[in-house]
Amino acid sequence: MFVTFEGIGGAGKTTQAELLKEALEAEGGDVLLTREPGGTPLGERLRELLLYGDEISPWTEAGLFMAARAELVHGVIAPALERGMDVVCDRYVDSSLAYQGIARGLGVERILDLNLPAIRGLLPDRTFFLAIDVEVAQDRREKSDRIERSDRDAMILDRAYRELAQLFPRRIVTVEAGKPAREVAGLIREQLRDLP
Amino acid sequence: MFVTFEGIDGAGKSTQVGLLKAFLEAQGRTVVVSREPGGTEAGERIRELLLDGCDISPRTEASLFAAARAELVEAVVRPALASGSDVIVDRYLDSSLAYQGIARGLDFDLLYAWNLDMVDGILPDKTFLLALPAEDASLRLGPRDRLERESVVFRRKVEEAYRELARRFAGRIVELDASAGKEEIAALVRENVRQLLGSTAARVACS
Repeated sequence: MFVTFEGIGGAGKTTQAELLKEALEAEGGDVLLTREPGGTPLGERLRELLLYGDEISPWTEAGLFMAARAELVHGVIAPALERGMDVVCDRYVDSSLAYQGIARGLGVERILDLNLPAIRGLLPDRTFFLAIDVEVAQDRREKSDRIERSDRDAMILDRAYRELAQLFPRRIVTVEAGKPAREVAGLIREQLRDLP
Repeated sequence: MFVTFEGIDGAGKSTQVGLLKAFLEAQGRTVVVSREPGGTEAGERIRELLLDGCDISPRTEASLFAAARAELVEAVVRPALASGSDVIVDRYLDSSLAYQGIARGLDFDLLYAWNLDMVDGILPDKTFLLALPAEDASLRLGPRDRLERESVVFRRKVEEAYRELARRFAGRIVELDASAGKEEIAALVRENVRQLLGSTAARVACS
């Protein structure tokens, strides 16, 4: 089973990814938790460049996310799934669809077309969009990165994710993430019961 | 005018870039020269990542080159062309097609589509391929140790890949014999460029 978490900064992706890993492991599952950009030596270096580097063009950004993702699939996700593990990933291809595809206007279809070969067609079985009030998220967030500098950015991204959830209703499940973390985690675990 | 040079390392690309730049400047033209990967701040950092040689997958490598190229187009090539400068780039999209596409076995159509998208369809007016003949010393197998042999085999594969590209994009890519003297090559480059400038001037005059 391959599950990803998406949402704006402060929505609780990292927390929920960790809680899901705990829950699956408590049930005897073998779980690999990773994040992107990052998760591989190259990915972590790209993460620095992407999140805290200088201004770069939208296509460059798309290419770098894609490179980090290609490496993550090749080196981490695909091998783990082949070994029969469950994989939980904090951000994945929907981040690019939202950031570069919608927020930066490159187009969802074009970004998806570019990314599918890079990830060898490997889409998550389920993606949780953690929907949260932008102001609440702002309070939760520790530091803001280059991608999401202002409340305005967060609002654009929030709208982008909601649009994606409508485009991919079978894969993306929207979860109201303003509730206490444990409660949200319980809802998420329930949503995965139909997956093998 | 947008011109690129291609060929394996040691084929003489940077020498020809320099000679063409000098020629164009002598005609009173403004010339911007760049290289890839690199040529921009982000590009240089990507270049470092690529040269660090951590063992990355072919698709990752291709994405990184495409990202560096996208930045080069946005930050250097497009603004320079828009301001009326000529642009000469040492390696461009054909390098990806030759190295990652043909030589490393990634799907050609995929790579071409990826790269065209990332450079927003900006292709060179002319690409000069400095091709080494198979009998060139650096491509001869001869008595070499294993690593050297592997490196020679790879260079031959890339050479072959470049020739295939030259056939495929016959209108854009001009194949030149890199074993000829540098002045002789430069003269052929200039001749092609003159034709190109002539047709550009005609186009401007007509519009």
